[in-house]
Amino acid sequence: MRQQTFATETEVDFVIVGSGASGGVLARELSRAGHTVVVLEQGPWRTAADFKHDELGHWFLNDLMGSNTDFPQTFRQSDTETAAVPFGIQPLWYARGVGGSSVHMTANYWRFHPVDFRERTAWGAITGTSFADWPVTYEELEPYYTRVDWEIGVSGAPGPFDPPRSRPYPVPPLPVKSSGVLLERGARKLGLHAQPAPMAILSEPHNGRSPCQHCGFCMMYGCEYGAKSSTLAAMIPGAVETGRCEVRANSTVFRIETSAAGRASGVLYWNEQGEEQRQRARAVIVAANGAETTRLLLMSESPRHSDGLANSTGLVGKNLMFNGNWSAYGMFEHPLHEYKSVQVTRIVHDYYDSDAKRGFYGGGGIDGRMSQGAILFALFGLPGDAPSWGAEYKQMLSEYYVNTMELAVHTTSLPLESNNISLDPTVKDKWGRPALRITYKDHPDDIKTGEFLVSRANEILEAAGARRTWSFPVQPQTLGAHLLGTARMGSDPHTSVVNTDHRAHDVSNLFICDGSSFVTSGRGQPTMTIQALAFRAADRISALARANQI
Amino acid sequence: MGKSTSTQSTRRDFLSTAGAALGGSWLAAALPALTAISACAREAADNGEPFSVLTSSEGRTMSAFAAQILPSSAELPGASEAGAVYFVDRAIGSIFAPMRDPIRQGLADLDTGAARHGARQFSDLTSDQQIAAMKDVEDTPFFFQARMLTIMGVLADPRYGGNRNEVGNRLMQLEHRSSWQPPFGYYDAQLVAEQARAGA
Repeated sequence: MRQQTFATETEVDFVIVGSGASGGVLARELSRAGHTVVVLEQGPWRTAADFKHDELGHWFLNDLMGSNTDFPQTFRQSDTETAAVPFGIQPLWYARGVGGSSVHMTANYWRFHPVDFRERTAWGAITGTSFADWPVTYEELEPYYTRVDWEIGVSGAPGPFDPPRSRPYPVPPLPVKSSGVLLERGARKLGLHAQPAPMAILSEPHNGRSPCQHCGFCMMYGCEYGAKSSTLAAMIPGAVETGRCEVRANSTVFRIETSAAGRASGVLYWNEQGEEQRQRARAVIVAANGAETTRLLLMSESPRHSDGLANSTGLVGKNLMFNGNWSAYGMFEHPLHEYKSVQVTRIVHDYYDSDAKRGFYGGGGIDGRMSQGAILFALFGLPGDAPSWGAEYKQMLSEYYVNTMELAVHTTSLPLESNNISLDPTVKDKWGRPALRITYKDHPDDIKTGEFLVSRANEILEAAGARRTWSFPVQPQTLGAHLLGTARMGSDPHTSVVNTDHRAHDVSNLFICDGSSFVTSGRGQPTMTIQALAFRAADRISALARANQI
Repeated sequence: MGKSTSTQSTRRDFLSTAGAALGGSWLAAALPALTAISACAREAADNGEPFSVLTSSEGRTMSAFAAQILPSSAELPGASEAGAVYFVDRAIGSIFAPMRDPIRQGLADLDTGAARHGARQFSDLTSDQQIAAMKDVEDTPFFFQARMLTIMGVLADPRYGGNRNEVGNRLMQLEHRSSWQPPFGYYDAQLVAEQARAGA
């Protein structure tokens, strides 16, 4: 259907910056609740037919993420270094386009556990970190997790460590792959408990959408069947159908405007032709991801907000958390063909909780999969002592690729002010905006958690009967797909950026709702929680609007 | 005109082969056009396809390098059969343009090294000599980039110019389809069979 359009000078109820995991949910929910909404998305509006099986394009040329030349990012481990643009894949993985990163996500949809929201209390203080409890609880979020299950579309079945749920999954788990069978086999031998992976990929038709065809191109790819529950597939159509929501693609917001009274009055953006536009709105919602949200707030400085909008604490951009992501590999006697179907069908959550007996903070989950396509495996996948070229190398590729699986471990990241996003002082993007500068080094406990879980993963692979297992040293990460914590939620305006309604403490009609709202990192699969927060935020923001309290 | 797998043949070889296959009159008529192509697209490559960036001499060196990264064997084709050099040629003129100069310099260095062995260029060395020369530069940025481009030239989508004749899929023992149905691999198939037996 043709979507409703609004003139830029029309003051709409809400302008939402970003159409991804949270922006897509907010757009549908607020428009359904009767509000007028304009969504500004910097990337194009692709359809399912635009998505391709092209490893080089997606993993090396940033087809969905935007090229390094157009959108450079700089990286450094500490503020004593000069950040540089790395070769190839960008340090921060996020997709540009309607649906945002929910289009190219792997779609692991783990709920947080109750402990994730109150771990500072459960564990105690950790010196030198910003470790804190959330101002919301699992119980408050549970109804919204259930809405994600049913309205976004999640396949799964309950597992032994799962938090309570008020409603079953809408559709059953996806068919188990060999990696899932072997993870389950190894786990059982060690007294661990594998369970079906909750995935935002449909195993059966649901809400008028088609199920997975098992093509094998999920992680970093868009789904040509619309079976992956991106907001492009699951939310945006419903938003447009209300007749109250306009999604404006190729619209790059670069500034939130504020009045003399300190209220947001709208946003400035460049349209596809590069022309500056001003969209007026009664309230602004920033849902651009933990990195882009940071840049927009920092670029919206004014005499009244001299360090950037909503940044009187100086916390915008700080406490960036990637989650730890490391892997162990096992080569088996027979072919697994992990290149088919979804990435993950079984997970292990026995090590989810922190355990003081380990001697460090942290916990996580393990999943069975094969992240590497053929090119990545040929470049980086073989055991460290394998030849890297020549006849023996070629023979190994041929024997190993389809017989190999990965156990990926996903772990906590402690919030540190020294891990952050800032504006690069010299490098600019194609619009002339400062490049995102990432300063990041995992906390020593995060590294220990990674080492601990990679060791457990190797044991599971051996117990599953791998002919050979291998892993690589757990090094501080230089890439992040989870962009969390950079505008954290809290009740105290001195130690947080937004309140429990996602309202900026400093600006009463500015809301910030995406991964940036996270207080702690969870165990590595944040999108489910980003969307539960977005459903909840939509309820709260709509109620405030109706009560004339914005 | 069959595809030449030799890394030794030259543009003159190509033209004479083409001439023999298609008749001298065709060649006489086509020659001005071919010359024009050469002028704008450097020199013709071994099997008649023009390179866009590499000279045919550089192409020979790159082909020989690629054939040592992923060598051909009777059972399993390699970089030569995949046409990896055409991927490299296109890539350094487009998607990986920043690698163009380092790659060309590295290829020139390999040829310079070959001259010390009395060879005209790297591709004229024996296979053992080529391997020894590559081991000498294994830790250089050139080697990293040329190896990476070779691998991509064998495994990337054919629309980028390499991975011809399904060579990449055959090498990795995989198959591309737009959809699959379970079972996907040996172990899930085994589980399904066990469950069927238990149910029967």
